[in-house]
Amino acid sequence: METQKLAPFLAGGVVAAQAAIFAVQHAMKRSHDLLRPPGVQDEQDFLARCIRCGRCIEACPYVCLKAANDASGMAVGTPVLNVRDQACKLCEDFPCVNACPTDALRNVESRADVDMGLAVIDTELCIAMKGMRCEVCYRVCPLIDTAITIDYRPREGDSIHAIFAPQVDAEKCVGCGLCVERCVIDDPDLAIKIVRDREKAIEETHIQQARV
Amino acid sequence: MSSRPKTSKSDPSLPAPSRQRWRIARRCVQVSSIVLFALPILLAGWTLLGGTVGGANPLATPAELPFFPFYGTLSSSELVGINLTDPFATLQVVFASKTFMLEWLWYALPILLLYALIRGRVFCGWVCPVNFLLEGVDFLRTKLKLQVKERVVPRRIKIYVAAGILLVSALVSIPIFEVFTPIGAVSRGIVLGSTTGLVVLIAIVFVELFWGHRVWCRSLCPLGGFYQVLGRVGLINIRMDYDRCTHCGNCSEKCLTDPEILDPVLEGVETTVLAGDCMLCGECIDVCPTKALSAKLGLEHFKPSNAAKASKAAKPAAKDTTKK
Repeated sequence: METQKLAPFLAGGVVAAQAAIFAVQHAMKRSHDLLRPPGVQDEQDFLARCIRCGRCIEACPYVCLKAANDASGMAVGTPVLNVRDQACKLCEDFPCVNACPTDALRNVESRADVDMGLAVIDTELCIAMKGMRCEVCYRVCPLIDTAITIDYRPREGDSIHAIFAPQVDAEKCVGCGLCVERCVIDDPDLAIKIVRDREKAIEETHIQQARV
Repeated sequence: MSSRPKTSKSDPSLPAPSRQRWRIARRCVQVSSIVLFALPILLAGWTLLGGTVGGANPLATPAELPFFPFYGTLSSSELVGINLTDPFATLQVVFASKTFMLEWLWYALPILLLYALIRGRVFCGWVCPVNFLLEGVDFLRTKLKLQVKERVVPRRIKIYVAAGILLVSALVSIPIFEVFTPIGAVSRGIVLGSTTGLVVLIAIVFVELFWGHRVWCRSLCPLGGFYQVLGRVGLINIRMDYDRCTHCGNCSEKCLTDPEILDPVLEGVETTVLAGDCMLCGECIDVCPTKALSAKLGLEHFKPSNAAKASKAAKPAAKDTTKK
């Protein structure tokens, strides 16, 4: 029978193809941009320890953690955040970190220990930069006046109006993403985003600031 | 085996077969082990398959239900504050991270001891959702009148697959079976909507329908391989009363693992099924018309086997009968 002969090759082929795609995505470090829960040290360390049991997901009272899908390649099943949908609320007791049985999430005692990434403001899109008073990101920030501050300055070529520009402190921002969740601008893109790699984020911030 | 007389009718003076007591018990455990993991999600008011949506205010979580002290998936769970982690997943983490923490051992030990005390592959027969699913596929295949091959891959291969998984985990620094596990596709799929191992699961069902009988469970699953090694010890064993056996062949037909593990007892070489592969499904006990087979508590694995005794006394010919 033809199907009987072809079946093992078909099944093996499909599995091998998926493994190959995952391997390529892994080699390209595709999962290094995914936003991770508090307590992740670095992506390589995290992937070596996470068994994808989902206990952190079941421990999050805001349901901000989801299991990554097949498109994430090798990272499938690991916890990820889509901060626009639901940002990390930086719980006092970090139930997600406590739930982890393999210490893939670890070393978080207080909010200051969290390093999920860094918020980067798009100065072209942010309406505060255009002179409108928004300050939503500043007011929702769990580390208000620490991670995000307002830089008051006169508007260029305008003697009466000021600009209330939000500023991210690269040292203090932990990347929870609440600013992204609440940002009022989403067309053509969000005016603020979380960049996981801090160095990349600082670089982007400098580019943005140079524009102002 | 074919040389044996096949008696379809049992002696009416003997007690009737015990019907499906083992199968019913096993179905109860199989269903409970799916319900048990889904329950905390439902009790917390969450949605299965990862459909829960959070809000600005905190929700009750499956992890901290005041009245239900259990949550997790088959990979790791928590029972009244005690962490339970799949020992094979733990091993993979040790290989992938090249670190070892004593607490990981404490988390894996309860599960390891449980299966070591009963019988390694009792996980496969009683808990694993993939085996459960494939028993359903068996039923479907019979309905569709599809014919598949038996024993296309030797059953010992899965021990090497398990070793290979650990090696690859170390090489790529990822607990690699946890990426492709079809067990997770069911267990984590229901609870979290995770698609880990979904492609592998589909491939397994396809192979099961069109190529070979239980290729995955019998020969390829690394978790089965791990538990097969552990199955070399175990306190509950299938025992055979040779004098009662009529050689009807019912047990071999029903064996979920591989009928060849029953050969030593059917040939009277052993009194106990010693193969580490036995998953204690009890199908053989259920179908035995003369109640020659039973499950007994005992340290059979540590006693010198009859085959060993026989080979010591005479020629080592008896051992060869276990291999085909």
